[in-house]
Amino acid sequence: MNLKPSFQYQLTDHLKSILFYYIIIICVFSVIICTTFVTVSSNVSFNGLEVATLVFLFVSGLCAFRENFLMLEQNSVSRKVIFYSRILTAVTICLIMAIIDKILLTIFAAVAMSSGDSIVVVSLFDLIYGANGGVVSSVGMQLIGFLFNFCFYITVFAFGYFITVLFYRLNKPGKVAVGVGVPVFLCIVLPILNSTLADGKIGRAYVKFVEFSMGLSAAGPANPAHAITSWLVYAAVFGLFSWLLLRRAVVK
Amino acid sequence: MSIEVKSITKYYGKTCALNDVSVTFDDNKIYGLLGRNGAGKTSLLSIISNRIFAENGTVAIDGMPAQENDAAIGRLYAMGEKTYYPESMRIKDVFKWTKLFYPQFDETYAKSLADQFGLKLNKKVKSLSTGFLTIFKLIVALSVNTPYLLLDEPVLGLDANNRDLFYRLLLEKYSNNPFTVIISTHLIEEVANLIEDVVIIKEGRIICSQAREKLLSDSYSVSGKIVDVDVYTAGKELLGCEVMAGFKTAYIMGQADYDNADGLEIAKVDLQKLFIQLTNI
Repeated sequence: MNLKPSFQYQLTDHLKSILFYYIIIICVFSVIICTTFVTVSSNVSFNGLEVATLVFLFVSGLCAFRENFLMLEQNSVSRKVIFYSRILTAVTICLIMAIIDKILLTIFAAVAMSSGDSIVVVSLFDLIYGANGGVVSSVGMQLIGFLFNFCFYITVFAFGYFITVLFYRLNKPGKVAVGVGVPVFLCIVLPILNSTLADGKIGRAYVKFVEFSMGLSAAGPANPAHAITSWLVYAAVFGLFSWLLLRRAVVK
Repeated sequence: MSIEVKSITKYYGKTCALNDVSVTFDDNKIYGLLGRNGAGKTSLLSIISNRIFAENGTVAIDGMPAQENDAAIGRLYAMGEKTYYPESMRIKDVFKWTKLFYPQFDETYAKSLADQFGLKLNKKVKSLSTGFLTIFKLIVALSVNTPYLLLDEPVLGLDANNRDLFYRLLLEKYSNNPFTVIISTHLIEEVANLIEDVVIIKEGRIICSQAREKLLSDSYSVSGKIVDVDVYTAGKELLGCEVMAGFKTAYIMGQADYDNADGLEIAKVDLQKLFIQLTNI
């Protein structure tokens, strides 16, 4: 079975871009630090690292299919093994990036603290679940925050992969229908329906769904475990759909 | 030890590319898979190599089902007309990765072939011309050392010198360590002396699958005046005719009947002529 070389190949394919991504992140943070010291400005907030990683992983997921699929098919790897190795690659990359993000945030927070109150570094998890920026939360919360990031990353990566496999399988009219139809439906049709026929019910249902998924509640304390479970379920659903599309994908 | 194709049917929309195709490729033979454009050669090779799926039928490689079976498809290497290697990858990196997927890949031999063909290992796949893309894929194919090698249009864009070099290298490799090669090509004259068995595919059906020598010895041409040729060919298995300025050449399957060939010229048929007659019917 070609699982090991397939995994190795797909992982290597991502490593260079991950390296460039973190170089850019470190440069951006350095620029912020330098600018803050030079201009003696206050209340600069650095809280977009995980969001940037999510965008990066989504794009990576989008770019991860066609070239790899053809290369692996050329080397007599079955679709089953391509899929298994893709899961292994996704888990490994998301784990590595979640760890690096945690380390970077800790370093950035330490640097920010040494600069006084002028820079505030806040993680996405802390922003959503209430820990104050710059304040180190408990070890348990750190661990949950790490798990939250990791599962969120996996979901977004799986979503990007699902979209790219879907577009690979679709014919030209299908690509246009999905590529144009879905955004038009979500951004134009649904809001119009929501404000005219549904009297805001669709919007309220969506907010409830997001709150439920993220474990947020106006009545009680937020529950990040709920969000972790939701991400895992969504990742599994995207993975399942990706597999259903991949198992009959042909070389073209 | 063989590739067994059983009752394969493949449709593209409403077009039937392969219609109930059954054929066996035995081990340690060089096959010529011949057919006109759109006959179904590439579809057949793609189904064998698990790149596309058939609607019906099965493929077995050394007794193992080929579809989605890594053990089975790992026993073959398919070189297609299209290039499936990443465009930004360097040739030397392709060799490195191929070695991981095919542990029996001979990197030293591949480098020596690259040297013979004048292929620079530092070049990226996207920077190669059509001819050098073919050379690059041929080098991988010749070095991969799998029991089955599927070559779809292996000399596309190659000049005469490089085609000659490739045929010599293939024969040399085959002589040293026999393996099964299936060559799909339109340059029949060039491979005529290379191939041992001929598989001719026409409009998605196998119309001939036998040893080249047997096929050629079972066919002949007869030329002469139209009337004489018509008398001679009556009741014989006629493949086709060519008429020119009152003279006719008929291509016939079977053994020549010299007793009734007065005033006629009987000759052997070459593979290309025979192919044209068989696929023109």
